Amino acid sequence: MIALFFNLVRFEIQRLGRSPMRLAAMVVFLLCGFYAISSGLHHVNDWQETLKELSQRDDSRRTEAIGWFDDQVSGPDDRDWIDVTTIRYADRYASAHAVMEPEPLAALAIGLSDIRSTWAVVSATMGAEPFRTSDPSTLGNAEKLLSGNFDLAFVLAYLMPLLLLVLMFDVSSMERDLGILRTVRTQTASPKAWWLLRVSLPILVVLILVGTLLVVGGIWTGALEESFELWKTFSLASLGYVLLWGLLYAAVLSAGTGSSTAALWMVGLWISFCVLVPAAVRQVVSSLQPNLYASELTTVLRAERYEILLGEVETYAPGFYAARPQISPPAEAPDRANQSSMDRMIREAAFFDEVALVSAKTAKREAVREGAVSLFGWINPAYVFQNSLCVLAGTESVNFRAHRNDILAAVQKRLESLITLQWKMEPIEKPAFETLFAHENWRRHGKTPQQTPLIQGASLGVVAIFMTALLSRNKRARERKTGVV
Amino acid sequence: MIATQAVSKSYGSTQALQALTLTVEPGEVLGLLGPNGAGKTTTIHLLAGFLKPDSGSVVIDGVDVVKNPDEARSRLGYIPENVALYPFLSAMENLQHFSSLAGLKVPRDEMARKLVHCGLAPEAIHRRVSTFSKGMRQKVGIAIATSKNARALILDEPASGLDPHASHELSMLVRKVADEGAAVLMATHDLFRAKESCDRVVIVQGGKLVQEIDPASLSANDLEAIYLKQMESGS
Repeated sequence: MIALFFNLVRFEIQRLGRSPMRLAAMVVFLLCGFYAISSGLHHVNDWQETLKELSQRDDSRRTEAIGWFDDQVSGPDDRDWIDVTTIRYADRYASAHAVMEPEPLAALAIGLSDIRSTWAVVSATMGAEPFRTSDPSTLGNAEKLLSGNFDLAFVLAYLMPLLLLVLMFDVSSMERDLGILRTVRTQTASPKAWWLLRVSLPILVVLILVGTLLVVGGIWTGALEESFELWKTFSLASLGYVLLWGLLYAAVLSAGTGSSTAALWMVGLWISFCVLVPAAVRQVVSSLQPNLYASELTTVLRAERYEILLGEVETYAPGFYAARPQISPPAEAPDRANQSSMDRMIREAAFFDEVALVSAKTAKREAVREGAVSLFGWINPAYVFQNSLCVLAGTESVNFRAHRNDILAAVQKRLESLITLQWKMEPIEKPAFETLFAHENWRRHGKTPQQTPLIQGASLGVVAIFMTALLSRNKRARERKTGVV
Repeated sequence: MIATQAVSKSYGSTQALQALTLTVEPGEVLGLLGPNGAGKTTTIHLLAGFLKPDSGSVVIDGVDVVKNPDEARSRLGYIPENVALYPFLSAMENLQHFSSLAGLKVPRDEMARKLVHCGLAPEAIHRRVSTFSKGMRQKVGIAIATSKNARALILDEPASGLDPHASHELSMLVRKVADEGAAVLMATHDLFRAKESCDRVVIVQGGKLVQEIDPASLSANDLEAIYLKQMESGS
């Protein structure tokens, strides 16, 4: 078996060396992979640059405000109406953004990160805006229409099966076309071992190429060093996906057809699993569960905001105090300014509750939508694989939901701090001001996907193995019946 | 030794072989004559293990082909009517590849000698076989089939399409292989070539053995007359 393996390795090297088409396909695949990695790196670098710029802006604003506390002035010299010891301006000058830090793997699987917001302003009085219309440099954080990514996940999910097809379509079917199969069968000690090894070698070649891209991607992005476990899972999933396609193509080859028929079947499989099924599933699920984009969400929330701001504060006050038993309405009537500020906090709290509610509904809707897509995962391997890589890279909707929760938690924390400060009806001092922007480090959101995609992929692999056995058996029965080998 | 014992084989309602019994001793060349559809190729496919008989037994060098196909294959050399080779490999590389498939480690100079021994011109050894004529491919095919020193050699109409010179060379080569101790079964339409290279000739028709002939005792014309008479009586 080992001697046969090395003999077939030598044969494959000779075959590849004399087949410009195959060599070209391998080179093009590698070039696509390297380009995809560098393109993803560019995207992540832009992302990190934006976060760095926001962080510098926040620091600069806070430093300026802390300087006022130190100098015992209420605000800048040229704007005497600004008083940083009041709730409104403390919230504005304790500048902070809730950011989604990119996983190193995000460069290999961009996912939704180029169309979803990756940061939001943390403010109890201005709303958690994804961008500021007054600041053109932040407009890029708005949600954008899906444009399609040429990242490594795409190369692996959709282009790798094509490379495997080019390398595999004439394995054993070439021998049938040329009439060599009979000689092979009488010369080989075990025709079954010969077939298995012949089918395995192109898969091995593709595994090596994919492994090379994964290692290069891991080194370039820093994932190998910074998030090895996620990179390892990412790599194992990718290699498993190569094996799955190898099994599917092996099932085609086991039917014992000529190379052109085998190629047509393989192309049919690729079109089905990489084009038709993902598109059809997307279409069906989109019609059943329409996607909510941020623009719709923003419009809804704007309407709610005006309703709350213009409505009677007594409508919201009972719920506000009931949710916060540690505070109660002041026994003595406060002055007008303090009353007005407390009313503002009651309205902001009511608005935050609406935001949290809408966010929960949106999250539920997304989860239902993903569940609907997942139902078709048994026949949608390319999408399931790509989606799993994006979950690992922290760029799928499940990761953005976690990011949204981070934003809400940060805003709520600030809101509660400001409510407490306002309830005390005292000017805000420097230590209290500093607590407003104190937050835990923003998380990266890469996580191991659930078991379902693995089970779905493995099931498809088992079906492919079963089909291989069945088609081989049929082929042998046909040969025995007709005498045509 | 090559032997079939009361072998029958049918494809659906078509009876290809009916209780066919043949024996080829080591060092002997047996010619299998018969018209198209007589059962020659089915017999060869049974011996090569491509098909399984409905009844009867098929034995190569004492090994039952049905019960122990891998072992039987290791003792068998097979040359199809049209020898097909990997066109992107040279004659030497083809021989090297197929020898390795059989588990043989043959030095390159020995393989070159083998190819020349089988009649291939030395300057053609390292040329890609895509440029080869049918006769040259047949020679490489014989080198492949005999490289594993098989105890039995089966040829399926090997002279088909060859020019007279190449056909004669092939006959001589087959004779040489038999003289080295192999049992050789050769299905053919070519009566003159059968007379030239075979120790015995059997005529099959309708899947049955209808006559056995010693070609040495007959002229080629006599052999043709017997064959035609059998065909006429069969039809």
